[in-house]
Amino acid sequence: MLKSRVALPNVPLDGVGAVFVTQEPPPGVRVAWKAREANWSLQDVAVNPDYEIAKRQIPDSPLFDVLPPPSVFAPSPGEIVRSSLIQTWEGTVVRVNEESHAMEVHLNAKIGQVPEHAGEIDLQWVSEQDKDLVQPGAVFYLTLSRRVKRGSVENNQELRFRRLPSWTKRQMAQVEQDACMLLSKMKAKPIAE
Amino acid sequence: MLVDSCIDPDSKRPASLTYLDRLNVNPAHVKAIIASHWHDDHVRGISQISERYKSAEFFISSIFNDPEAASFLAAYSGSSAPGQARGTKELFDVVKQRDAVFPVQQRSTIFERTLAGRQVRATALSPVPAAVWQSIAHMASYLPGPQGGTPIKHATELAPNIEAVVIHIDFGDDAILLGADLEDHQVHGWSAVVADSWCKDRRPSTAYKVAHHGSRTGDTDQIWTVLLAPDPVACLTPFNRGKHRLPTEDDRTRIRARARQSYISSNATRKPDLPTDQLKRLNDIGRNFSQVNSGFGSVRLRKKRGATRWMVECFGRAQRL
Repeated sequence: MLKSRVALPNVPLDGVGAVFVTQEPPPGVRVAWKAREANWSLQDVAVNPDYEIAKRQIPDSPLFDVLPPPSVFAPSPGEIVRSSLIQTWEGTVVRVNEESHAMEVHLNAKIGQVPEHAGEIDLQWVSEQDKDLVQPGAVFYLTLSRRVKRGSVENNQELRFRRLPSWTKRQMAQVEQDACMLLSKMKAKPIAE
Repeated sequence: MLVDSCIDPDSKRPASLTYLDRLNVNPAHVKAIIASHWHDDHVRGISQISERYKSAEFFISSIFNDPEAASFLAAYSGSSAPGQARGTKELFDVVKQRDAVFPVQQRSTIFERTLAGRQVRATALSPVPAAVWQSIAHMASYLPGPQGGTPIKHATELAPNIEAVVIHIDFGDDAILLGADLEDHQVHGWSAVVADSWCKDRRPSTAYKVAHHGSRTGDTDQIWTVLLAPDPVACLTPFNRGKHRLPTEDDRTRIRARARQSYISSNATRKPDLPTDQLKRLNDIGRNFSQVNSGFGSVRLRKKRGATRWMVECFGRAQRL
């Protein structure tokens, strides 16, 4: 079933995560499921609802990374692990408060009909490699999950920032063309007395 | 005349569309649509309104009547970076679908007509000219270089808000003031508006849509003493973004002292609406989680010709402040 491995474009790998693709992506859209922990079983991966979310959410992108060899991600033999996803949020940083060492965020749930929420998240939960991305407007993904391992419950949370791509020359040409179109439609009226 | 837009959470349609449909208003009778500024909470669904009322003239803040500002709108229209487009996409779509839109700034006329024997005139009191240039400079800072290669940044909102279009509507014997999100600033904001001789001469308004969700930063004494009649009816909408919640208790007290009849379009709880385990997990890594939009309502003000008082009705979650 496992045919290829690619990284989610918005979740750069840090050496402990992995992406398992359970089928060949359709043309134009690459789908992926990220198994954050090295010892998640392939079965867990295949049935996890986030696979479907990823299939819907992840657009084609030039930012896919090829993963390290699969041996790094193999689950421990004989180990029984059950993982369940609680919620995945897409967040936007509204403001960074250095004094309280927290970021004000907007959160949009990706699972279920959950209203938009706002709040503060402590910066300690941001990984070192993402710290430079924490600024107003930055987009991140917060995944809350629970794992049962040998009868004990372990809560996991992952907060990863999306690295935005750069403007391309083609996009800039489109912006210029669109801007000309917009300006051509502005018809100023005379200002009163 | 329609000013700004929001989405009714029940119908998922722009609230003003639902309202006018219920009143069986002929689309051709809508003469003007105004987007006071580009922030998401003011223009959600306004492209649908524009599409529906095709014969109405569409007005936007004159800050967009500039090459760099137009480039900003185009860059954040969603075609290049969908995640970075919100209110900008709404406005881009409106301008794209129309043959013409009309930029307005201080002293612009939006609507002028004789209705039932009365001269009705809607004019813009802002943005003031100096604010237009400040706003354009802010937007220009988010434009990439001509060669590309620079990272796509999220366009933050200019603070204080000096770009919003404040509208004064004179009915011939009375007037109302729609404060949008304009904030106070000596040169660019409310203080500059009330210092303008033309603005000062507008008929004092007996009803006021309170600026910037009732915040202290959107207020100045002269709004109440120069632009408004004594003890006007005041209406406002709440704002909720994490710990930033408007109006505050101090704001409520301040506004009630100015206007005994004060109303808010939603006074619902802002408590989180999440399963217990999700909320607990969020509170493990942060705090102050609350719903962004926790209720929906509207305040309707009507006044019969020659009447001295406004008739006020609250719908949904709306109530007295």
